[in-house]
Amino acid sequence: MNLMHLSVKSTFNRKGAVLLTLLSIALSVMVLMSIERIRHEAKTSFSNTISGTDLIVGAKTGDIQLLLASVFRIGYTTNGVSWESYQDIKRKPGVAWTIPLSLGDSHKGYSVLGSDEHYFNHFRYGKKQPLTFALGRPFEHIDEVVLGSEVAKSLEYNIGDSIILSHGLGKTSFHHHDNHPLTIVGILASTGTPVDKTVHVPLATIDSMHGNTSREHEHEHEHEHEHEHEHEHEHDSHNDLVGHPTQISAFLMGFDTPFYTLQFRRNINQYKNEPLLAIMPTVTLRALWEMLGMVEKLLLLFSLALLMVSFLGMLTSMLATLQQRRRELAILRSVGAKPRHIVGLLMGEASIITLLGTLVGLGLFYVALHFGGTLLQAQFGISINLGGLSRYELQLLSVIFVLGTLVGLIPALRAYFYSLSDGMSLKV
Amino acid sequence: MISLDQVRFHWPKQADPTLHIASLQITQGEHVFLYGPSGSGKSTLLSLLCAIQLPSVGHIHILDTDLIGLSSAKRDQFRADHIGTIFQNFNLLTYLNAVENVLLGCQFSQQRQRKAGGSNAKIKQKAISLLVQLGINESLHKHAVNQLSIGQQQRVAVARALIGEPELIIADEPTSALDENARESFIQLLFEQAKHYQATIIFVSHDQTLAPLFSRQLNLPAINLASPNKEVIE
Repeated sequence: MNLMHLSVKSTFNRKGAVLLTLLSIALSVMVLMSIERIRHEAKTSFSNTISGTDLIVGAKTGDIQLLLASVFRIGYTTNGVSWESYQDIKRKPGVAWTIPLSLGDSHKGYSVLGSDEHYFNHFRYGKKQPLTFALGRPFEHIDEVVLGSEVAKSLEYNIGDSIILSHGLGKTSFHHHDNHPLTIVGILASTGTPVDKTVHVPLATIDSMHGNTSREHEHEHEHEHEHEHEHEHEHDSHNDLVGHPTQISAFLMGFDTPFYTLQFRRNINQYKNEPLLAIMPTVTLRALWEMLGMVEKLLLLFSLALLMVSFLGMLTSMLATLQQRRRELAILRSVGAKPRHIVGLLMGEASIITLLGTLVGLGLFYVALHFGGTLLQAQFGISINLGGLSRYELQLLSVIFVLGTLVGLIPALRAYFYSLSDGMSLKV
Repeated sequence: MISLDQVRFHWPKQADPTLHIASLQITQGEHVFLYGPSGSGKSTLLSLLCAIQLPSVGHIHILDTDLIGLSSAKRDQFRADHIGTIFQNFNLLTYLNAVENVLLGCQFSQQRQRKAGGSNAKIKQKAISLLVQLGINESLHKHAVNQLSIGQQQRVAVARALIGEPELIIADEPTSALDENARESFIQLLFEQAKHYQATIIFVSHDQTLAPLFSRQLNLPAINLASPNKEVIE
């Protein structure tokens, strides 16, 4: 039996108060850890949404607005880029690839993106990872569609299913295009980015949904069969995924060398034919994250305040029980415990409570992650890593443990003075 | 064993000393019965003998050690090594069982651990055998101490005071919660155990019927020159 053993026994002799304190520490540790983990993961998944793209070009608007619309599918661009300008810029020397983006439609709440085959070849996310297919292949016809992993999962779609797209954003679109059923030909592997929540269709499909193309439709009733044949034939010959759009929402660009980026950005921002805006995604992502930084810091502050409140709770309960423990302390003094043993006993108690609270909190944290992770993924597209503790998190936990132990110093010193003044003359 | 020389003690903020003993000698193995009414300075004298308090003036030697010369940490260690205490009603830690309470007696003293056998297993064996000798059945050893009767609790306290064979046993009214029959047998048990290694016992009580059991009786008001009760006694 040593002092630690004694401390443990003494602590659990006062189960009620100790358990409550422990629980409050556990909860605040859970909140702090969750917030820190989400913060970290959000930041990572945020900066991982797009990579390898040198410029994003759209109609003149705010940098962040363009980024949000083109990458995060949040909000919308009021104007687009005319097809002529796109073609013009695309053909400039030094441009390695471009990906046209046509946004503004949705399917059951998931945004619909019109693009071409370059999207699957050149789009990069995370650490320059390309998109890969979990199932199937890219679209090759205008009646084919490729789903992001989460769309397929939550709507329970499979390869070969037919879906109908509607015009406009939101789940309750009145404007269903019932005459354009599309076949699912591919499902992308999960990326942890907004791509997972996107329905990908050929540019031409977006166009036809809005009824822009179909000059052929006029003949539809008379030569239905013939038309279908002709239609297919037309596609085969042109392999026309693009169609004849008049404008697109934005486009992504990659250059032969990143040194062209600044030059191109200047030229595009001063484009004569129409007002355009070119942004560098990494720069704008950072600007956006800094805007969110305030909220992030506030969250951290709140969770730290919560932890402080728990520690104050522990302090209160330890000080409150100290009066009742003068007898215990006097007995220990009578068998020769030195003041440092008394201090050790009390600090030991604080560290036991903090340690157990931290461990329980850690358990709760993983439980919360397990159940909250899917919700976060579904609602905000933040994929939470359920894995072990990072260095930073371990440091955070150690700091909590040390702080908790130090809190014990206050009642410990109080007890020390009690034990000095009481001596053994105490009669209870 | 113990010698007090011109010892005066007064509590801080009090002008008059509570205790003033010109001279007191107690020899090894003596069983001293210390009595006197409340307020006669018994507790103060015990605090001094336990090295909890230091006299304002004078010298206290226990086992040839001058307590005045010791730092407070050294005094704590001295108490842990050489003094076993039994108190009236705050003896045992309720969250420990009987054996653990006994072990507490040598928890803070390596010297007493050595005397009790050295290794943890041997010390525990010693604690168990002490309890058995004091009439605490082994079936009770793992019980929470507050499930034991008052008499049993006091015997556990005796075992704790005796483990590791401290030279001096100080008992402050240990029998006041016991009924009359139990008091005498309690003291007999204490003596029996103390005899094994010639422990000195200072036993404080105001119950004078116990006095004849002791080899020496000490009337504190009579030797305490500062006692407010002095006139009453004389």
